[in-house]
Order: sequence, then structure tokens, then C-alpha cells
Amino acid sequence: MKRSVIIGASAGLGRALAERLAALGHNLFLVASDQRDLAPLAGDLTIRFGVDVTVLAADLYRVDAGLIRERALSALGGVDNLLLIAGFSAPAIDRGAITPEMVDRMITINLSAMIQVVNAFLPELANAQGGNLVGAGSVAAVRGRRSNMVYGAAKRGLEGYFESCRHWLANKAGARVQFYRLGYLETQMVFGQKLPFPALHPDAAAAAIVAHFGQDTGTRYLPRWWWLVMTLIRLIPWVIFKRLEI
Amino acid sequence: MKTHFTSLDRHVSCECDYHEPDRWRNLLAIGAEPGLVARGSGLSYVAASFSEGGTSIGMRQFNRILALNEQARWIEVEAGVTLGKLYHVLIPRGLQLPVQASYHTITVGGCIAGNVHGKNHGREGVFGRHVLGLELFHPRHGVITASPTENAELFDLTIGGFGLTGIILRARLALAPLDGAEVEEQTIPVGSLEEAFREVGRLQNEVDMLYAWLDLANPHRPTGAGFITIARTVSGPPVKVEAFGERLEPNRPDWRRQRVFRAATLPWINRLYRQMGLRHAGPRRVPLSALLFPAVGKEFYFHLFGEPGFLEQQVLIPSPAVDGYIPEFRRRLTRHGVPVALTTLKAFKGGRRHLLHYDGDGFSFTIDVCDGRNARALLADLDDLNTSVGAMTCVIKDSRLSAEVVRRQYIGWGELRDGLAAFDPERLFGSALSKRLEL
Ligand SMILES: Cc1cc2nc3c(=O)[nH]c(=O)nc-3n(C[C@H](O)[C@H](O)[C@H](O)COP(=O)(O)OP(=O)(O)OC[C@H]3O[C@@H](n4cnc5c(N)ncnc54)[C@H](O)[C@@H]3O)c2cc1C
Ligand SMILES: NC(=O)c1ccc[n+]([C@@H]2O[C@H](COP(=O)([O-])OP(=O)(O)OC[C@H]3O[C@@H](n4cnc5c(N)ncnc54)[C@H](OP(=O)(O)O)[C@@H]3O)[C@@H](O)[C@H]2O)c1
Repeated sequence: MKRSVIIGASAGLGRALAERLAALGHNLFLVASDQRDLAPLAGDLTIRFGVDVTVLAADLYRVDAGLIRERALSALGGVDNLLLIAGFSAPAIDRGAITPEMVDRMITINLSAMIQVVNAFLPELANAQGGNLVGAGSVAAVRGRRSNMVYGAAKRGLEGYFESCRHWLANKAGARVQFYRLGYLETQMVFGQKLPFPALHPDAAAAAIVAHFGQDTGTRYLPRWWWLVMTLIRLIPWVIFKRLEI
Repeated sequence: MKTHFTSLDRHVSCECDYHEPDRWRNLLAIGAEPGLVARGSGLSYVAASFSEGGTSIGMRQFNRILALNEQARWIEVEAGVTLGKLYHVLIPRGLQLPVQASYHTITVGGCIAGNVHGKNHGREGVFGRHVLGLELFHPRHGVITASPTENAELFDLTIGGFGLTGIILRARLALAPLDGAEVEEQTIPVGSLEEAFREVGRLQNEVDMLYAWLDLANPHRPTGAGFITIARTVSGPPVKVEAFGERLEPNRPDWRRQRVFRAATLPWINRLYRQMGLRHAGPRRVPLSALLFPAVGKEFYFHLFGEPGFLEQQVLIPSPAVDGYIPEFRRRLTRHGVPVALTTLKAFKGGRRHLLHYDGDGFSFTIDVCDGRNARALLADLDDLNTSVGAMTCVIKDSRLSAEVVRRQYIGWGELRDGLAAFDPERLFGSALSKRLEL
């Protein structure tokens, strides 16, 4: 039985991944901040798919990566897949000066907590042959804009760290690395917002991510057509780009 | 988010605020504002889960199965779980919900709040009979546990209470053993409405499911010939739990929503349907899902009324009134000249009249007509007939039913209204349906 750890598993894409992996028979270790969401999900997946699901309610803002690792290993006996899906954005305010606490929160949850967790699992990942290290980035990080300033920066930092992980793991018989520049997802993060492009259902995103397990794909867009959109955006000359409200 | 919701019969459209929380902390943070109402899949024919300027709380994300006790035969679920999801979990374990509405995306919350009926009322009664307990959220009262023994009055008001007591969070439901893995189905011709009522009454104790499909598409010759479908579950190979494809979405624009049902086409369509029904008379084996969710695969039916939509009247006629009812019904149908797109008949037995529950003894007689002036005049005329014979109209199916008619047909109208006012003097929860019925 495969063993997967999902950080940010109680809602949105993380929850969809938990369902998908449970359906494939993976035993799971799920992390999010609220036990009230995690416990029902664990019950549901256990009843429907007969897998072992252990949960840990932990706030990534005050992450104890050592504890996550210790609990995950004691529940699963090892780790094949580590999926770092949690993210936190505040698009309504993340445009210009925000409070230091908010900067800290966004950098911690999107970047430093993620690095801490991967770092804690590196020994397992180095030996997880056939395993996967999956990261959730964002198209918001591809070209800096006046919206999602800190969020975009944190996700770009995360992308850089995943690139390094891919390099570090490249010559080892360990996990393969997949990092996704995600486009809009139909989740609470964008609920009620008017979006310029269609949003992908989290189940479809989860299906695509799991389909790429085992592949050494590095960074890629999900859905793929975002490549075209972001390439065009990157090609917009600065004199025009600086006038755009995007 | 501001959203436009339309009832399934396309009769009522409202702009309201819509929230679809996916975490408990967001759900329990819902503030005390008037016009709140929970929404399951929005498949009620009437505007039961929204109102103009109100706030609908979508429960789709709260769809997890919390506990299952196969020995004691109960399941605990979040209220947004669909009947289709439960089907996939329960059927392979040889279990089922005793009462199920006919479509896979209908939620448990919708079944409790609408106190829906299933395939064999005489044997299983209505959905509420199998609810062992529930948890409800009301912004003024917090989270309350209710069951027949704990907060029993609130429990009673919540079953068939159209979401007006608060948001059902979780429920524990009794389960029944699965009688068989397959279904043997057969159709029997009937030549008239009279024969259909007689045969449905006679056969109701002998089979697991029965309903009559009758042809009243020509209002000038409304004989009501058609066929009765009877079904028995039989043992067979282990059930293959197939995925359900389509889902009805009354709020999405759909190019297939084209008006095909008209006075000129309906008699032909009904004739064809009757011939098809009789040609494949059976007996034949069909999958269990065809018995439990007969509307799956037939979603196009709702599209054929086009954008103007349809009106449904489903009435529970007491058995002793049937003989007098049929000729009078026919006379009014002919007088108004309204073709009926769909006519069905089921038997109800052993239920009790309570609040606004569509429950009791008799025959559940349903007609669907294209919305229009004549159709409304016919249904208003039938309201009088129904009231005079002691029949009850299913309130969650009929978008034009007035508070006055409901007051006259249901002895429990006042009890429900008073009970709601006592529990929630501010009456925070409400929908277009509750406003129309002056609840
Ligand atoms: C194809 C089809 C077949 C049907 N077959 C049958 C049938 O066989 N028998 C039958 O009786 N009915 C049947 N119905 C009607 C349907 O079962 C009911 O209208 C049911 O209430 C719809 O459930 P929903 O999840 O779509 O809820 P909605 O339509 O969204 O809401 C219905 C009511 O339930 C309330 N509600 C929903 N969730 C909650 C919650 N969590 N807490 C509190 N209140 C809540 C809403 O406020 C509203 O008052 C059918 C409808 C369709 C479209
Ligand atoms: N949605 C989009 O349109 C979109 C677009 C581009 C990229 N992304 C990225 O894709 C990923 C998934 O997005 P999503 O929309 O699925 O997110 P989501 O619906 O908001 O879910 C995020 C998950 O992470 C958990 N989480 C968040 N903060 C946490 C914290 N401090 N401690 C512990 N757990 C925490 C959440 O649980 P709790 O709330 O209980 O903590 C939840 O389980 C994120 O990294 C996001 O940045 C999303």
C-alpha cells in the first residue's frame, strides 16, 4: 500500500487529492488547521475506501515540521508521496503595504513552512523510490504584479526551492518532483470572484496531478493552456504592462 | 456572492446572496440575518432554498460519511451528502436507505427538510420516519442536537420543515437490508383512470414498487389509458454500482432547454411513450439503480418544457373520495382544454397527517402541465376540487399554491407556523416558498 502525506488536505485541491489517493488505496496522513474538517474527511475516506487515514490539526503558521514528520512516520511507517498543497492568499489586501503580521503569515504558510516540512522529510524522500514530491505554485508567481504581491513572491520562492529539490533528488533513487503553476481552481480561494479565465474543478486538477505521479516533470502549468496565457503576459512590454490592471 | 437561482419548474427566479462554505469555522460563523436558508442541490420544483434578497447557504461541501454501523444498521452523514454517494457506499454492503427520492444528486438535507417519499409508501412511509437524530445550526441557538427523545419538538419541526428551523448539519439515518441485487420489472396495461386507481390499490401490497403512467395529453378525450409498472427486487449477481453521469442543474443555461411539449405534440409523444411502455412489457431484469433513481437518464424531460417551464400538481387523494374525484377531474380538464404532459399515480398507505407533511392514506396523483394561463386556471380549479374531497397538495412540488389553499388542506399549517415562531421569534430562516405560504 502506498503512503501519502498531504499538507493542506481539508479543503479544495488538498481534499480532492485525498479522495483520489484514498480511492487508489493509499494510506493517508492529512494535515490542516482544523480538526472539525479533518475528522469527517478521515471518517469518510476510511468508510468508502477502507484505507487508514490519520489526521493532524496543526497551524502551518506555527509549524513544527519535526512533529509532522514524527507523527506521519509513526502512522504510516514510511512515506512514498509528500504533497504540499496548503496555500494562503489575501488578494483583496495584498496590493501595496500590508501589516507586517500579514506579510509574515503569507511568507510562512506559502513558503517557509513548506520548506520546513520538505526539509524534515528529505531523508525519506531520498529513499522513496517510486515516490513523489508535489508542490502547489501559482500562475500569480510568474510575473510580478501589483496584486498578490507577497503571495506571488512566496510562491515564486517555493518554485525555486522545488527546483533545488529536483536537482538534489535527481541522482538518488528517491522521489520524483512535480511542481505545478496552478491556474484558477473552483475552490473557496476564488469563490464569488469574477475571473478572467475559467477555473478548473479541484477533482480534475487532482486527477491530473495523480496521473503525473512517477514523472520527473519539474515545473509545469495546470491546466496546460496557462502556458500560453502566461507566455503572452510575460511578453507584454514593460511600457504597456505597467499600465495594466491585472 | 450575488447569484440568480431559478426553481426547477422555472417558475420563480430570485437574486440572492450565495455562500458555499467548505470549512466548519466558516459555516458556524454565519451571522443572524433574516432570509437565511440552507440549500442542498436546489432540485426542489419550487423556490424552497432561496428568496429574493435572502442568503442561501450551499451545503454541497458538507457531504461526508461520518460513521457506519452495519450491524445496528445506521449511518451518520453530513447533510449535504447525496443519495447517489450513499448508494455507492451502501449497496455493495447489502444495505440501503429505506426511502429514497428518485434522483441521485438530491441531498439528505433536502430529503429531511422536504420529508420526501420513496418507492413504496405503504411499506416504508416517508423519509422522516427513518431519521434517528440530527444536529442543527441556528445563529441564535448555536448547534443543537435533536432526536425523537432529545429536543423532540424541534426535531419534529425540522422533519418536513423546509429548512425553516436552521441548517441541518448532520443526521443519523436508519438503514434497511437490501432485498435483492436486481429488479424484475413488468408493465401492465390499463384502459382508464378508473382502472388505474383500482389496480394500483389492488397491487400495492404485492410488489416492491409500483406506479402508473397515464395518458391525459388529449384533454378532450381524457380516458387516462396507460400502464402500471410493477417491480420486485430479486436476488442476482452482486450489484454493479455504476457511476451516474448527468446532473440536473436548473441554474445553468442549457441549449437543450427547448420547448417541445405543446398541445399539438403532446398527444403524439404520449401515444408513442405508451406504445413503447407496452411493447417492452416484460418481465425484464433491470439494474437496481433503475428502481431507486428512475429519473436518472431522463433529465431531458425537464428540458422539453423549454424556458417557460412547467407546473406540477401532486395530490394525495383519500381512497374513499376517488370515485367522485375522477369524473370531476376529467370534466375540469376538458373545460380548460389543458394537455397534461405527464400523469402518474402511486399508492400511499399508513401515513399520518402532520404539519405540512405529504403523508397519509390514499393515492398520490401527479400531473405536469406546461406553464400558461389556461394551465393556471385549471390548477386553481383543481385546488377547489382537491380541497373539497379532503386531498392534500404536495407543497414542495407546486409553485403557485397559495397560503389559503394550504391552510384549508393541511390541519398542521398553523401548528408549523406557531412552532417556528416559538423556536425562532425573529424568524431568521425563510425562502420564497415560506413567504408564499405565509409560514
Ligand atoms: C428528478 C427529481 C426526482 C424527484 N423525486 C422525488 C421523489 O421520488 N419523492 C419526493 O418526495 N420528492 C422527489 N423530488 C423532490 C426532491 O426530492 C425534494 O424537493 C428535495 O427536497 C430536493 O433536495 P435538494 O437536495 O435538491 O434540496 P433543495 O432543493 O436545495 O432544498 C429543498 C429544501 O430542503 C432544505 N434543505 C436542504 N438542505 C438542508 C440542510 N442541510 N438543512 C436544512 N434544510 C435543508 C432547503 O432549505 C429547502 O427547503 C424529486 C425531484 C427531482 C428533481
Ligand atoms: N484556488 C485557486 O484558484 C488557486 C490558484 C492558484 C494556486 N492555488 C494554490 O493551490 C493550492 C490549493 O489551493 P485551494 O484553492 O485548494 O486552497 P483552499 O481551498 O484554501 O485549501 C487550502 C488547504 O490548506 C489548508 N491550510 C491553509 N492554511 C493553513 C494553515 N495555516 N495551517 C494548516 N493548514 C492550512 C486549509 O485548511 P485550513 O483552512 O483548515 O487550515 C486547506 O485544507 C494553494 O497552494 C493555492 O495557493 C490556488
